[in-house]
Amino acid sequence: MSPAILEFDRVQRWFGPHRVLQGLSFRVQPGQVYALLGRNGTGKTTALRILLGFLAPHAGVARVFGRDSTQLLPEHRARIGYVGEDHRLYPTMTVDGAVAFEAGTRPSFRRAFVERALQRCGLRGPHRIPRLSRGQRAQLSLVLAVASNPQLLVCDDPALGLDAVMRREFLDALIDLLADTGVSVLLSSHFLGDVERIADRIGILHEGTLLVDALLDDIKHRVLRCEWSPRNGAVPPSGPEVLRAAARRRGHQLTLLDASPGLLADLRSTGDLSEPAAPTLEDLFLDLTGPERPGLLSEPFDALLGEGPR
Amino acid sequence: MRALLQKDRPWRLGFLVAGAFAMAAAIGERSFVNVFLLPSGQYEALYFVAWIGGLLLGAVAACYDELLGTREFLQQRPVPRAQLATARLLGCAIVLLGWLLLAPVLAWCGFALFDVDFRIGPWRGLPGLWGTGLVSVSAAAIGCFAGAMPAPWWVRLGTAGAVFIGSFLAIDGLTFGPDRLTDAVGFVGAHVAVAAVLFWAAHVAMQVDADADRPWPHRLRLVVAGPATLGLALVGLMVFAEAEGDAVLRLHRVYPHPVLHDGRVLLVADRPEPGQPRRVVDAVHEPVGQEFTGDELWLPRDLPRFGSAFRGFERPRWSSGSQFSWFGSFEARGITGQILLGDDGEVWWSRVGRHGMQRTGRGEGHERFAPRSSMRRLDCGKSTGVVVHDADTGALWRFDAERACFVPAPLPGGDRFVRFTTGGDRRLTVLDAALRARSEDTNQLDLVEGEHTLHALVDGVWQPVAPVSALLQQTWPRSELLDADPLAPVLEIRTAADGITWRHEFAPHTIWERVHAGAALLWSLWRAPIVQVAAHTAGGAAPEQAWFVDPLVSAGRRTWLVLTGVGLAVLLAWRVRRRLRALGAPVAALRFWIGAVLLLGPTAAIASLVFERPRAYARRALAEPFAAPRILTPVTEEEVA
Amino acid sequence: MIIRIDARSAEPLFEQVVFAVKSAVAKGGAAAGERLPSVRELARDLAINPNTVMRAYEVLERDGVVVRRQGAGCFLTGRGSELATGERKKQLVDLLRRASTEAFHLGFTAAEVKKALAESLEELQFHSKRSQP
Repeated sequence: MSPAILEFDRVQRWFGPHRVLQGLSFRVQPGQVYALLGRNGTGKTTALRILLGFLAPHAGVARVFGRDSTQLLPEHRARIGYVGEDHRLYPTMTVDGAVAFEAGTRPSFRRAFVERALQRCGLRGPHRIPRLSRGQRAQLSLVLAVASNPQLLVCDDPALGLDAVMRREFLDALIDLLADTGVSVLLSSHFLGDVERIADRIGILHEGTLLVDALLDDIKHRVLRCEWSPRNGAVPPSGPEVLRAAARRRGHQLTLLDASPGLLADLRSTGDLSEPAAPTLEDLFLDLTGPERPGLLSEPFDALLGEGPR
Repeated sequence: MRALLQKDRPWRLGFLVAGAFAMAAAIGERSFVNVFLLPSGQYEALYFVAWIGGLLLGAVAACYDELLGTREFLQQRPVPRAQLATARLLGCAIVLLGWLLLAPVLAWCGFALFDVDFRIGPWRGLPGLWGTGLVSVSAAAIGCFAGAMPAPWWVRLGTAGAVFIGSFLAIDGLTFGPDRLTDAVGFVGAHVAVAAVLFWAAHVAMQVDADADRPWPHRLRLVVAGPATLGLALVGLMVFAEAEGDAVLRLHRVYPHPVLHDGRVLLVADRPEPGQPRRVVDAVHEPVGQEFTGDELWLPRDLPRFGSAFRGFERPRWSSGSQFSWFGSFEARGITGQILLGDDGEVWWSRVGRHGMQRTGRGEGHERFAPRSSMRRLDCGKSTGVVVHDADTGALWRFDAERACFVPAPLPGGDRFVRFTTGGDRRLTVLDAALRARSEDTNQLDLVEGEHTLHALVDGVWQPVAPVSALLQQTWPRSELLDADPLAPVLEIRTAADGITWRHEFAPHTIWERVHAGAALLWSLWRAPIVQVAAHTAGGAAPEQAWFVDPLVSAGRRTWLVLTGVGLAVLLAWRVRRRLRALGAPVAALRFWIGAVLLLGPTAAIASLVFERPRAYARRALAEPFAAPRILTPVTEEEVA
Repeated sequence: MIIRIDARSAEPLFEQVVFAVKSAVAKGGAAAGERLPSVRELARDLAINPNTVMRAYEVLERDGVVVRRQGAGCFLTGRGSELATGERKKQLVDLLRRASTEAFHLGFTAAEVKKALAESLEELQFHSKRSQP
């Protein structure tokens, strides 16, 4: 097998009686941007914490640079950049202090690089960390995380709480980094639009296991979505080709994987079929992880209006 | 390392400044005289500030990154975990060293500014200050140890409490001597040992992340759960001893009292209200139907004292401190002032209306008295005289205010000093009527008891008072304990006047007596078996040591009780073993807890419940294979390139 | 040369880049020898992963649309691409399909629609403007 930058191998983890990860397996290749997606509480942060050695798995193993993550040595950590969930920095420090602290704890810290980067975003100087805006903290976190030229950058929901402008700034910074260093990135995010721009490969984590572990382009080629209203009471097809058949007021919305011409022909013959098109990442995400039932207020309103359940 | 220390600067600086000033203020609560000139040897406020500050410092040092939420931000750095821990402990050490150095200096500066008695001078007080302030080091180690435990908050708080109370009270109980002084070497050594062990344990604990869903590594069990269990066992020892002592006290209350009635010694049940009839009981404490009212003499019934487990939570006492005395004239004439005699024999005095202490001593040369000399104000007559008894030579010295020094004041007639004594209530003493008339305004009269007679100092001249024998003759009945077993003491009472010798073997006979005695026995069972076995083989101990040396089993008493306690421990150890095996704990853990329960008894069993949670051992592994992703792109060669 | 993409489109990003370059060539908006923006520049401009741009350039090179010179960048060869044709044809079909659907609902017959289309083509003198089909 090729040497992956990082690898999850059948990782299982519990918190009390809750199974958070159930045999999580995936790999990130050198230079790849891997986006780990999932709803809140599906184990994204747990997976990243296991990867960084803050938490030990109950079964399976996570490896970084081929090393068991529970036994990372300083020389491995020196090659990992980490942007935490809420851009955590020491609230007692100033920006200069934070830079000095990084410089003092990371042997390959590039001071000049950081100085220039901070000058660009107007952060140089004795600004106190608690007085920085969220966006500024995010910028500072990223600058500090990449300052030692890491081979692997781990970002836990870096865009959380940032406005559109700051998100784009963050994205641009990441793009520059990718263009210039060939770093591998593992990031978790809820901003699927951003993920679509930057990720090579995505993993959708749901209930502790990966529903999707695929190249983004591959998904766009293989997944199709269409509306289908059956005639004569035909039921929607099932099988590996149908990822989901969601009931709509009239007919169904079908999400198909590797749909064969035969299946499409069948559907056309048993009902009206809209032109199949590739879904956006957000649509796919909703299809795979969203609830089967209609909206939160649909049923109450239906009852209120006397239409009754469908 | 420098960067790591830099990171901790906020708490270090805060604690250093706040702690040093608080400790300085605690020292400054006493006067310059009491701290530096003639050290009192006990610093209550400093002691409390030191341990409270130490506990807080240690806890904050250990939990700082956790409190800020920067624990993982810190740990992802390429710095060995051991180095992170070392940096924290180093920060702690800097603050503690700063406290011990700065606090006396700050207090001294404060005295220089505000205390009239200030002088650049004796530094004798420093060792006592450092010795008292040393508790900040062990308290910091305890705070650090508990804070660094990879365990939930309630376990950490409980551990901090148990280890703190257990170690501090145990050290206090073991080093506080019968002379009411603290054994300095033992105290300092014990606190340094506690600090060293717990700082080391904290260093180990800091390198392990908390994870409620995994058992502790065995090393952590040894290094962290071990001291915590020991602390809990010490607290248990005291709590059980306290409960046992309470039961014994209740038992003694329901035991009958001997009274002298009609020339006979009788046992009467409980102390009735005045005027109520007394019920006479027999040798097995059963009422015999005989009653009488009044006209009895309550005989002394000194049953064996069961000392409280601890003397409260108190400062160490390095010396008996300085003795203080006023001297001067009642008619406000002449020279009035105060005299202080230090524990080391040094004397200082000051005059009312004039600031500043003056050094004085024996003769014009102001020579120092022998250490532990005693001073007394003998205030017969129109003025008070201060007399010092030199501990070495046995000579008496009287303070001569005009010459500002002590002058020899030998007893008349070649009599020799025995002790200072109180003449007692004027109605009882046999003082010369003229003497009585001259000291109208005091009931208590201090005298010198010589070998031949009592002496009063009247206006600087000794005056014999009365033969000693007249005062000392005892006609009161005396009681003697023939067996000091708290449950079944044997008492003998002799009355010199009537020539009666009466003996009674107390034992629990009535229901309430049996209830209280049973309670005492039950509490004794819960004590640590190792301590009970040691007490059983050792001889009797002072009542103050009852928390450690159980009087119920000491000196070979009640072997069956010791054996039952050991049996209980074995039973508990078996239960603990069964529980841990059911959980799936490793053999090393089983051995550790079985050993702990056999040595320390029930408290260790409780500790095993706290430290070995079922959650950590829950068996968790899903059967493979796992569901494959529904959309999967196999890793291709192109992607890898 | 103008390269535009739609990140939310169903089409893979690298294919969009490929198509954008090819259509620029096909439309004559880019001359042979013109230098393409560097991977980094384009990735920044489009706010997409540089790996995607890299892959697009690799595909373009494979298709002979660009040539890569070590250290200098990618340059257009000037050769039009057949692949662009298919894409344009698809657009045309979409356009006509929409028009015919509207015409159907307006009640026209197929013959009437064909006639109308021929008339509009005449008006525009369509055939003479472009050399390509």
